[in-house]
Amino acid sequence: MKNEVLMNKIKKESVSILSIFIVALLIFKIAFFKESFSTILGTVWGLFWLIVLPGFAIMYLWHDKLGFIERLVAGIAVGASITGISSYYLGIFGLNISNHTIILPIIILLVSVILILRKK
Amino acid sequence: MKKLNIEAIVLIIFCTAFLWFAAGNILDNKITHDFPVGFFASDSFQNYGIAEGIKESGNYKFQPMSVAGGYKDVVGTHYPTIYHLTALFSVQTGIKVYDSLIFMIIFLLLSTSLMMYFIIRKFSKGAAMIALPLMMLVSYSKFSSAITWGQHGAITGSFFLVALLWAFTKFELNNPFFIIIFLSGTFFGHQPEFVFGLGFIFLYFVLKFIRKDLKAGDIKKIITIGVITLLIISYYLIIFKFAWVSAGFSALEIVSVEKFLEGRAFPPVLLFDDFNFLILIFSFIGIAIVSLMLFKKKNTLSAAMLFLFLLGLTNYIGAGHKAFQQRFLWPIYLSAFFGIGIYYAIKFIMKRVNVIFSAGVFILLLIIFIPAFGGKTNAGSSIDAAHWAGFDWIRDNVEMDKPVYFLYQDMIGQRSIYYASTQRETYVLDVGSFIQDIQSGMIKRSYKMVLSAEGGAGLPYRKSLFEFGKHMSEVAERMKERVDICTMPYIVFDKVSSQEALSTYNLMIANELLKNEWISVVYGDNPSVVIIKNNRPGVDCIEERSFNE
Repeated sequence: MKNEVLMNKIKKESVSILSIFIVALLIFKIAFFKESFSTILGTVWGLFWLIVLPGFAIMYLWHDKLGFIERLVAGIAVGASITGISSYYLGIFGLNISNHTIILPIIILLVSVILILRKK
Repeated sequence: MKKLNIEAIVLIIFCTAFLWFAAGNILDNKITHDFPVGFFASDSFQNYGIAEGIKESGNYKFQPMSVAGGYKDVVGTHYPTIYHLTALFSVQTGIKVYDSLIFMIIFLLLSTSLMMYFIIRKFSKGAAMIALPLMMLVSYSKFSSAITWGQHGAITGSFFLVALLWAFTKFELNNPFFIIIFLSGTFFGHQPEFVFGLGFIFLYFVLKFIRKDLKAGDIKKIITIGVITLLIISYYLIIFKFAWVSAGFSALEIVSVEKFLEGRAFPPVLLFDDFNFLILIFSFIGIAIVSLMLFKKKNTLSAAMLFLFLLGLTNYIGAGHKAFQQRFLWPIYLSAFFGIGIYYAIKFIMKRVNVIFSAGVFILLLIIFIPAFGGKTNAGSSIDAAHWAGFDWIRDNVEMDKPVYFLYQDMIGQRSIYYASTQRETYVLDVGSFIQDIQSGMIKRSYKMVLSAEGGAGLPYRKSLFEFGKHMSEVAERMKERVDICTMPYIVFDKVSSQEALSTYNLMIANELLKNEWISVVYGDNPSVVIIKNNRPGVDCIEERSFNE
């Protein structure tokens, strides 16, 4: 029952995240109106992939304590901190930063899923 | 319409206005530029140079060679988070590193504002909405100096500091994850904010003790948090201690604004005078209300808001210039009191203020703020397209192990520009000596040069885990003497200058060198810059003589 509630919430919020991605595209296009749409798309996707989505995924651990928008905003701080620190250490350990853009978000997303499943 | 939707709409409008405001004021409403825009000081270029170096080398184990003045073993001493986020963002999007850096800083400021919103929101959703428009001022005129003058570490650290305080206001000590992640974030973001974070935790415990709410379990929790945080930051903590603490950068410094401005180059210091009178009135009403609430049982929220604001005044108790860095965030910190002040003023008249009314006040303030503060763009840079083209050429054509020497340029005082923009070991002219050379009426063979490097920490290198040496004394010894121009493999001259005598002298030297067949112009198709290459460094190439002959 608890699983079902969480799954429904994730489904519903996935649509919300997609909507926010589209709204973010519009916001960025208004603010940076002299920029091409392809650059805007790349920029917003870059922010979502590197910071917003990993942070938001981790924040699901507190989905019952914080509202959607607050989780999204706090997730940016969590995502930026974890991505920044992890990238620093991965680089020190010898993994070139050019690989981090793929590996790091995937690792953070996977770890988040595992932690959420374990918490259940 | 549901209340949540109104809040979402308000936040969407705020994000649009904030970014439009910042993008217009600093970046000319563009993300990508042909050369660094929004860079007005050496520190900005320093941050760009390190991030560019990390992108190229793939890590920050060592300071990029160019930043370290040609040394390859200098450890990465600076706050790494903003560099890594910038480099990652540049790799992911393909946007140039300098554009990624400024964009990331503006994004972090927007995120700090949103985090602050959720702190204020715990007090009152209406007050939080009313507070939002004031936050946009962080990218306006004097306030924006933190962005354009390179206080990027302070902005990053402050973001995590605000997040840390949000965690305390939300969960107290009941969610160690956030405290660990955000406290570590401040350390890797910018260490002064880490110290401020520790200061808040101390204050939190004092308040708990005063209200007789301190339990043994709280002590256990904070010790566990401390140990885990220490483990996370340990590697960089060792570097920080030997690089910065040993160099005296953490020493207490009590300083007044007047005293501070006397002796140092720094972005303008923010004062209360920089805010509109009405903004101050409402803010002080808010401060009075929040201060009164500090004495109530649940006072973490009041303490957090007051703490952030008061950081800007800690120059009087020892934080020195770090306090002035915090003042750049006053539009965000003060907004809490501004919002609460207006909210209570309205409540005094209307008794009941609902969310729709607060959203209306938010829109009204936005309509007042945007024309008042927006559209006065200061999008620009210390550098221009022609000079940047010269740096581009150097990056693309000069061998990695060859130093580049810069004779007079108008921007020569901003030394970080040179190592950052070329990603090479660079030396710049000592202007005072150069003027004396001109006054002597001689074309000289040797010139007084300065190494362009980030030497604040003394260029430390590791001998063992806990033992470091510093290259700075070697550099000082080496640079005591004038440098023979015949030993310079690449020399950059400016053809034009705001001081014509200096550029004329530049060209006299260049023409004298070009009399040798082994010295040639390798880059000259540029209105400002000419670069010459000496293919036989060390061979006699110039005879000292009077330029009146």
